[in-house]
Amino acid sequence: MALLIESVVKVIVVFGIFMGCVAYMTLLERKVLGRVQVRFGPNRVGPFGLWQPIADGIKAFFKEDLIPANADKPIFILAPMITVASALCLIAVIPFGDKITLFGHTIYLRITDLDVGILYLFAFASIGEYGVVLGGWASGNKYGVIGAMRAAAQMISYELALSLSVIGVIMISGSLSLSVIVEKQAHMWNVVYQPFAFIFYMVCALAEINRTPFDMPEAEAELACGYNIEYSSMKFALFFMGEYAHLVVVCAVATTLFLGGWQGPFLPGVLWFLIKTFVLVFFCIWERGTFPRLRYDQIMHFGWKILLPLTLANVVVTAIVMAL
Amino acid sequence: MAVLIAKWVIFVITSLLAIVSSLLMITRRNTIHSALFMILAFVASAILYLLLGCQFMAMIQIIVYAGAVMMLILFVIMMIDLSKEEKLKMKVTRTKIAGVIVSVLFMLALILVMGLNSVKGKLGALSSIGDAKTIGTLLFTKYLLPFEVASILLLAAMVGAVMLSKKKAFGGEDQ
Repeated sequence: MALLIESVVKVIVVFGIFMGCVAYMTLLERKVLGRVQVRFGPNRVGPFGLWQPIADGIKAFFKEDLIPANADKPIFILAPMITVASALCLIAVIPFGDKITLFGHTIYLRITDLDVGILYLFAFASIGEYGVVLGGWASGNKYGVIGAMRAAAQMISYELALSLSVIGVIMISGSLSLSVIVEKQAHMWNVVYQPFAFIFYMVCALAEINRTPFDMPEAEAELACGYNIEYSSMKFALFFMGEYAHLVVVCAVATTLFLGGWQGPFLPGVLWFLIKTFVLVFFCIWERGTFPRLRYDQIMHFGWKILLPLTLANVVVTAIVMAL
Repeated sequence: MAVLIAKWVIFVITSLLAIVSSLLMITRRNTIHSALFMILAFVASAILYLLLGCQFMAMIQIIVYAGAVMMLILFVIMMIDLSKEEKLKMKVTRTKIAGVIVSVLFMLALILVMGLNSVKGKLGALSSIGDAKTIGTLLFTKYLLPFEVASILLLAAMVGAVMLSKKKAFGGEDQ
């Protein structure tokens, strides 16, 4: 019974904090992008525009919910849900702190600790990709379909390199469990042993979550928003939330795998975890303001002919070094 | 006891889900809908693996089948125009009759094999087979040769696919 209550409380707290982070991530991105482009960003609602996400939420809620006549209605409704739900499932295995003792009761600061944590991440990440692909296809719009096709091709291509970039970490840690991987980094972060894998991971992750410079599925200039072109109101807000939720998750996973998770001196573990994740998220926003969008064929060329061989070479080199 | 009942309830729900989604998959006219029900069936069978304690198998089932394979199938379905096929009326052709006969025979064979060899009783030593470590150890010791042969076969298939999809014959100028 105590276990059940503990789990429920943890799920509610993590869900609340996670969704709060996601909401304010939208504000952070608009603010930082504004500064990068020498303007202020949203600053009308509340001090420093701090209530902007709430205002956006209310606005999205009261907008008219349009479904195109030639859309595939059930899939059209299902697609944004898949995107958000998969991102929420992903957060379940990420260890965000060490164990704490509360009322004589040891609590591990993670929702669950799977033996196959990394595989779980890949499994739900691959389910989440259907959201974008189906959303674009079900809209019954040619731009939407082109966006969906690009999303499918891009995700298939970069998923390979993404999994290969993580294999080096698994080899060093000797485990698929995320909490074991964090514990193994008590003395030295994995990024020191696997610097290239970290770079490959971040690049592939940006491509997986369709972020600049890989935001082909929603390239505004050529596809007029691509896969989410027909979405309005709360369904669009769900896609928007899913995008930022995936961004947070990707950075949290990078923290866990490469930057030592919650390990760190002086400050409590949860704080370290949040700081590291925030730095990575900030990097993602920063690079969005810096890099131009790549062309579609350049992305495919880069993924298959450069990234994939490099990640494979990284695995081989890691194996050789470990065997020596 | 409560855990056993919970497991039983989950088993009944997921197996029903698997059966219903498989049926819906073969009866839908819209190919995308079929593909989605197939994904659902794969996910349901992954949950069944989880109930057996095979975490590794469950995750691989989702990554490989529900994730990668079905994404490719969806990609292909979206690429080709199936509107003509979807409008076709039910027509009995020779290939369809042959297909029905073969699938009924296959189902009978499956029922016979499962009925004769079904394992009754408690979960035994088999339950540790779903462990990533066990599978890895077995693949690199006892089943090393079949494993390597299978990987060479897959490599050959991959090279073959690349050859087939090339526009010009081998030796000619490619892009």
